[in-house]
Amino acid sequence: MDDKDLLLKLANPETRNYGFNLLVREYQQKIYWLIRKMVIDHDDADDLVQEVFIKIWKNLDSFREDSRLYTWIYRIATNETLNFLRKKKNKYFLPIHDVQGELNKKLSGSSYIDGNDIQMKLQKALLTLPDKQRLVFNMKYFDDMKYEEIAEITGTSVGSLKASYHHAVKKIEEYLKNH
Amino acid sequence: MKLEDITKKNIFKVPDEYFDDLPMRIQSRIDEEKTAVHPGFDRGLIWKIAAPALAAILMIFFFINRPESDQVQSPEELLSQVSTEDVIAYLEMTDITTDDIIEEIDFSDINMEFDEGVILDLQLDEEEIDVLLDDYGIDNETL
Repeated sequence: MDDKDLLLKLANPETRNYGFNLLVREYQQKIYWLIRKMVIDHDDADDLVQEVFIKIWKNLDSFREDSRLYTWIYRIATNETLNFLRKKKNKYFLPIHDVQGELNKKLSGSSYIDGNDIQMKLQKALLTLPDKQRLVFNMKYFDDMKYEEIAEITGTSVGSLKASYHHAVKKIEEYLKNH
Repeated sequence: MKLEDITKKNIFKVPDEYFDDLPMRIQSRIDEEKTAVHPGFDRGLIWKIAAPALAAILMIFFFINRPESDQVQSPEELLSQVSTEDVIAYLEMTDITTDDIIEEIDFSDINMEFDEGVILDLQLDEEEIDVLLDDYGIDNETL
């Protein structure tokens, strides 16, 4: 089912619940993996993905059809994820809470992770990037998204995204060389 | 080692049947939230009643406890009597984040001096500065 059919079902009060169920089924995996790669931990990703879809449900009326449904959903998911990580960092007010170290531990200790040494090293290299740069890298590298799509979702210019991605690759390769 | 030498793979896993159950769990959370708000419950009305009552209670409280010298202390003066350690201890106990606090600050009241030396010491090239500004959501033209 495409977004146009979904929107028709969501617009009709009688089919709204059914339409929303279809929307969740259509987007749950894409949104979960986007979040999971950022927060690393399955339980955190599970909480966040539910929050994202609840937010989507509550704001269905504010969706404007001049933007694409896909972009709107991704925008909510990326904002929620970046806010989650920002709050985690700022929660304790003083900069003693090492979120990067915490995510690194989760990467090494989770039973829901299965990669070889070099893939794990790549994930650890990613954790050294600022969150937004890591998000852009994940969308480009793992999800093969176009810069134009990422620009629409993040509200950043294509030029800045290209610079950010190029810079991220340099930092990752530097990390891989030194570790 | 180059990035293209690494096999691209999603190393993360989920519990069995996770995606089969997720839509149902999301739906039940939405249903819970719907039932949590009682139909016909008017929060606005509650506040319309509660706000004047609360204001009256506060006025009586401050009238009874007013300083003998008739000098009313401002919230800033009262807060200045609390030690920094106590403020930090209080903030650690709450859900208030640094972002929340920054949002409440009126920067027009604060004289800030920009120390260019700090930036110069970082020795960033233009591209690095652009990336940093972008990562922190700062518009280059506003600087």
